Amino acid sequence: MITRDFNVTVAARVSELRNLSAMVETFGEAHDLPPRTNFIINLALEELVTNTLVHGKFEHGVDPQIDVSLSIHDGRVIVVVQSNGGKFDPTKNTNPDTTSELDSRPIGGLGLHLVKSQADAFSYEFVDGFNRLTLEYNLS
Amino acid sequence: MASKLEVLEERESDILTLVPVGRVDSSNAPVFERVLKDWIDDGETNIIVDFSKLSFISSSGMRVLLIGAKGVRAIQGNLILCGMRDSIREIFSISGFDTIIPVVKDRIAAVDTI
Repeated sequence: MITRDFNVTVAARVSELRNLSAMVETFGEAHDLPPRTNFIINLALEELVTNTLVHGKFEHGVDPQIDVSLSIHDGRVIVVVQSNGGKFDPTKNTNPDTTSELDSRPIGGLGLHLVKSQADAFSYEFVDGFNRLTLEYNLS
Repeated sequence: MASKLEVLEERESDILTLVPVGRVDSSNAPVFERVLKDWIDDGETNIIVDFSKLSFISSSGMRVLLIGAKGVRAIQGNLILCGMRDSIREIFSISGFDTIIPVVKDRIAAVDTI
């Protein structure tokens, strides 16, 4: 099988999310991915890029950069998101409250929980000033 | 600036049905929030959100529904969600939102719930 990897650098604005979504669609079609896999990859990128844009601490004078790559190895989709928005380790984030009643349910904190719940593997490194998140999704 | 979002609005007696079309993500969730909030501020008490024309929603969009559910609850109303595809239904389940906001199969079931 020919490996068709996708790599893109995203400008630091939410309007870029539509372009990312289109990239996931193209990648999904190229690899004949099931609709659910397409959806959860789309969701993961939307949540991670949005978090970076909203909470990232980009240094003055440094161009904000978010790099996304999609590939398939050994029956798994590998998604890598790298950003220079200041060190942030999402694996240390506590999960949000998902059980309390409507009136006391906090608003927010949910995106990362969804991403972590749906990935088969989720890891974090800080390399050369970049946060690097690697997500894996089993195809079988 | 927020991206566009088309939200169809249909009324049948005292029930308002909102049908967002396409995607709700962080770029256009503020549009969805304004539409829902305006109706609730106008005193609309029975609102159905029909997901059948929605292919994607992120936590930004889910947050709008949580705000809407709280707003409707404050005026003793109902917010019912219906028509979700499986992938969307799954994230409502993971988040536990389906335990605090009623999610039913289709519009007929939603009207019955009200």
